[in-house]
Amino acid sequence: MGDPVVSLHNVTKTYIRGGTEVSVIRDLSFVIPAGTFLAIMGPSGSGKSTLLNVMAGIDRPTSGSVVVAGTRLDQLSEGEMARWRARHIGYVFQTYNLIPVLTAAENVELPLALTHLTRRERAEHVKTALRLVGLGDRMDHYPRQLSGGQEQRVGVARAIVSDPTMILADEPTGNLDRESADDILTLLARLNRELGKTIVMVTHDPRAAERAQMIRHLEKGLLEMPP
Amino acid sequence: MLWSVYSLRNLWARRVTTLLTLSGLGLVVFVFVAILMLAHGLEQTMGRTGDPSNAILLSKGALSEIESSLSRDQTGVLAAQPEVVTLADHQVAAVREIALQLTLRKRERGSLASLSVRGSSPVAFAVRPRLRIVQGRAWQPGTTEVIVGSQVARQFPEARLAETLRFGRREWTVVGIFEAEGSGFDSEVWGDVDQMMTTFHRTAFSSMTLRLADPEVLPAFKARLERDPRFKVSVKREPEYYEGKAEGLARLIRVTGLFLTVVFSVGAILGATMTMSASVAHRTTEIGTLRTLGFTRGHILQAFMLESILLSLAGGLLGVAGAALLNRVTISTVNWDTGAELAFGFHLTPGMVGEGLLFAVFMGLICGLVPAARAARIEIVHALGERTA
Repeated sequence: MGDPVVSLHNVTKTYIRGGTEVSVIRDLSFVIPAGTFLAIMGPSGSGKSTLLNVMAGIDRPTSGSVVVAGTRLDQLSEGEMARWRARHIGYVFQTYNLIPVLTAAENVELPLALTHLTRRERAEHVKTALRLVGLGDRMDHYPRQLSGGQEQRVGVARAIVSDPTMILADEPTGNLDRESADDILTLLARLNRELGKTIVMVTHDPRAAERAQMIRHLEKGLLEMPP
Repeated sequence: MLWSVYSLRNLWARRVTTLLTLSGLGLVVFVFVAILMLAHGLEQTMGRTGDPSNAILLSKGALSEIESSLSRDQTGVLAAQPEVVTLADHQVAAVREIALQLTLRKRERGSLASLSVRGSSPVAFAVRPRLRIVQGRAWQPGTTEVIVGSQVARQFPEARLAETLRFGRREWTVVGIFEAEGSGFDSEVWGDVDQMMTTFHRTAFSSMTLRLADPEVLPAFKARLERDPRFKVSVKREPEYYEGKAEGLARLIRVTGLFLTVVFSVGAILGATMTMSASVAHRTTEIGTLRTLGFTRGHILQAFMLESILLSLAGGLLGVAGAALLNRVTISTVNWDTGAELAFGFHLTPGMVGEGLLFAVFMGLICGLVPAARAARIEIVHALGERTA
């Protein structure tokens, strides 16, 4: 295990709902070393997706400090945060979230539109990423022409194409059948093992969590630490 | 590049809505360009009337030939000015004319129409060399023969070759049809000035047109004649005089047209704004995804603005294409400045294509602004479905 990629210190996240303050994350502190494949488990409403969003820089903590890839996120402006996300985060969504009007290759190319790569370099990266997820022959297919499992593999290719510091996956197998889910988990494990990618996966499926190196349970906003 | 593909494909994905919206925008651009074409066509018709080498003389204070009155003696002296061209037969290039507005009952439908009649003399062809007889021949002096402009021949079946026109309680035989390069003369009937003066009990001419040897001398010529107490005339360059005669109608077309354009554009902009707003609402998750990937609020604003501009531009192209179909179509209406029927056409210029498309882009900017700003303001977590669990 390497240096910490994620370091949370006394992180709290509260929302105001119907005039009442609701704590989703309470005083959370932990570190994730580089190269870890971590699964965060917990029931619905436990705060696991919020925790993932805070680490991804798409949500801000109410208090506490969040340091990811050496950057203190709670101090970044909106624009800086977007640029930081483009550079360091690959995000895999439960519902794949592919852009329906773009082909598989174009969807994967999207994060590269924010880089200074040339058109040819972008095409090379896209090809490599899609081949890595086993969809080298589906480059020109639109999302509607792909199965759920294939769509999610495109989603994974999109998450890794810009070679981010960390991959965050929010219930990546939540909408998939068992076989496709296994394929995705194998793919994530391979990315971690062979490319040394740090992966944080939120799931409520114990079978999915088992594929990770490390499992943490989140209960009512509090992280259950290993005995 | 990918951004443009994204915007274009999104428009294509909603092609029925896109088509309806761009038709609305296209209609506005069509009206806008058609009005410009019509006003330009009118100005061009009037601007083409007359020759820049010619000076038209009216009695002082008269705004048009109809109000003007020049005596035979006066015109004799005026024609003898040294600036005027002397023709091969030693005649001076000066034509004394009377202008009449007649109401004619159209034979076929019985409706009334206004007709401009000009009593002239054969020297008119030397003064206005661009005018040519395309059918038949010129009138014989001292007879009740007339020639008609091509637009008159087109609109009045009774003004065709060898037909007879009835006015001033006399019958006038059409012996020729002339063309004057699409100018206002094309909407006139010309005949012998003396016959017309007798018929209409006139003792004075309406105007005199002189062909100058050097068009450059006109300002000095004008100043000299207008200062001379013997004449009491006003001098104008011939095309400027005719252009001025259509100013009122051109202004009316522009004002009415712009009013229509504004009213239509409000409707079309509202329609397009609603389309774009629906598109934003429909693509909230997509916006959240793009933002998660690292695209900024600025990028989102840009994407939706681009989409709105592309939509409007497509509408603009449709409108301009529709307006282009009107090119060279001729209409005839009463020129309010003269009371006479005047035929003129829609005329499209590259400048108008540019103005039409610019107007479309402007509408695109307006209708895209609010939805695009709303799209850019959406919080990522809300866009992705308020997953706070």
